[in-house]
Amino acid sequence: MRIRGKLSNRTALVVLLLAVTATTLAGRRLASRLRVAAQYVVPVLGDTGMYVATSFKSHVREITARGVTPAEAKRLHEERDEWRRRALAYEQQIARYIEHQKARRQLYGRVFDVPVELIPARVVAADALPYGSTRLVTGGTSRGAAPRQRVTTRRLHTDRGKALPEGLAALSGTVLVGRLMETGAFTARLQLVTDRGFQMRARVVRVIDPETPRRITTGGRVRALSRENNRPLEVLAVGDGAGGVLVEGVRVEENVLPGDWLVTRDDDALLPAQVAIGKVTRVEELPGGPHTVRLHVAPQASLDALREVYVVVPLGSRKAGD
Amino acid sequence: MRWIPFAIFAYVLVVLQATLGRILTIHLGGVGHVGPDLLAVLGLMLVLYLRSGTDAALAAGLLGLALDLTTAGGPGGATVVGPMALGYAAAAWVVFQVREAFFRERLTTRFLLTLLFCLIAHGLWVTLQSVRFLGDGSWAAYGASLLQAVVNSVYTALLAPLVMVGLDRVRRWMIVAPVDRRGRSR
Repeated sequence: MRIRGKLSNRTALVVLLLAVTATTLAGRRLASRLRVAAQYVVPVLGDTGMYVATSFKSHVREITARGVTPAEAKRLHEERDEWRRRALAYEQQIARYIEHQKARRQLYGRVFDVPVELIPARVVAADALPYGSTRLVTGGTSRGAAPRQRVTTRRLHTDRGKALPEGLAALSGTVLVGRLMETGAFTARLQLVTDRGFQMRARVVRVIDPETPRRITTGGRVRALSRENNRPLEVLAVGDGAGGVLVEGVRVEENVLPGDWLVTRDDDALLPAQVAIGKVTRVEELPGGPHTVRLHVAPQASLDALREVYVVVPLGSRKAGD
Repeated sequence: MRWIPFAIFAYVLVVLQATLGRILTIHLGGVGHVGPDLLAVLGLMLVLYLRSGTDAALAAGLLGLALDLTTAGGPGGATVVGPMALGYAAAAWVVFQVREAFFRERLTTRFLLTLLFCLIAHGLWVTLQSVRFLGDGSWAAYGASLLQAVVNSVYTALLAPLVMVGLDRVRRWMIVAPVDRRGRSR
């Protein structure tokens, strides 16, 4: 009953207990270093396991999706046809716009682009305990990853029956899924947007629906929400630890409704683009609160089945020699 | 105790829990994510069949440390390393003290002792993690985490009899001379 050598099991137990007491008291910084060291052994077996788990979750999500009644199906068909008509009109507008831009580019020779590099990475493990929402991803500091960098889905929606237009990024179904919290040489720990410790400055974008106009109060005057006065609302998004995102302190007068979008800020140095985070599902009035509401946001990405992601590395942030 | 097979089993199980364990993880409204703790079941098996309480506590502590090193999210955000090792060691010590009162082959015993093991280990983990962050957290958040720990413990205890059927087959690879059926050391 002894580990070979001079060290008795009793001594080993005492050493272990003293060591873990010390690491408990030492705090997050040491914990982060220890976890990074441990990350080297998990991906060896984890990749296959995570492939099976995410495939299973995707499949379950598909087969458990709620069925629709014939009446709902008819309504959805009609809505789809309407959206197709609108999409066609928009496509024509976009085509004209692209032609216009081409002409301008030829004149001035400058092209606007988001100054980031997208590093493909793959989820190879999750938290061993279900209390948090983090994932272990491939792609560490050796590929330019660093703590706090944003992570998005790796998905592109396109109609393969048509030729792909220029400026394809505009059609990308990219969604923010979280940010890196710890990085090792070859792996990194991704903190999902739903994790309790996740916090990020973001914006709420209200959707204008001509069929159901809404009223907002600005400068003491009640007005109909329009393209002109629909400014994005600056908010702080926080993970609720239970699969959602919370936004506190939104003024009642802003009249945010379910269906509105939570998006990233395009002035964020780490991801200077407006990327979707999720959709508002519930607006909760706070009794006795300072005339504000709490927004419950459902992440747009399917985080349970998350497998392939992009780590967003701002250009110029890589060290020389990387 | 054979430590090398134990280390291999612990490694495989912790990776399984961090990957395939997601399949068994479900979302309960009002509680959050609930998933099984397979390492607790392995820890309980060692506590039930090892002759020495020191060995049991050491093995459980190492399992807890493996969980600490592969878990980054929890109450208050990023977690610290160590509380689960303390929790597992404490749970192993308590269960070792009461194991003589049970018939260890029975399903109800395995359910109840797994529940006890998990309640101690996870309760201590949630408490220690929360205590560090109560400054910027709240008692309500601590209560929610504690509720999640209780539900996780019940879920793990429900699965434990099934998991232990599998572990029974590989027990002899880890334990040289288990205690007899009635639980008394020979």
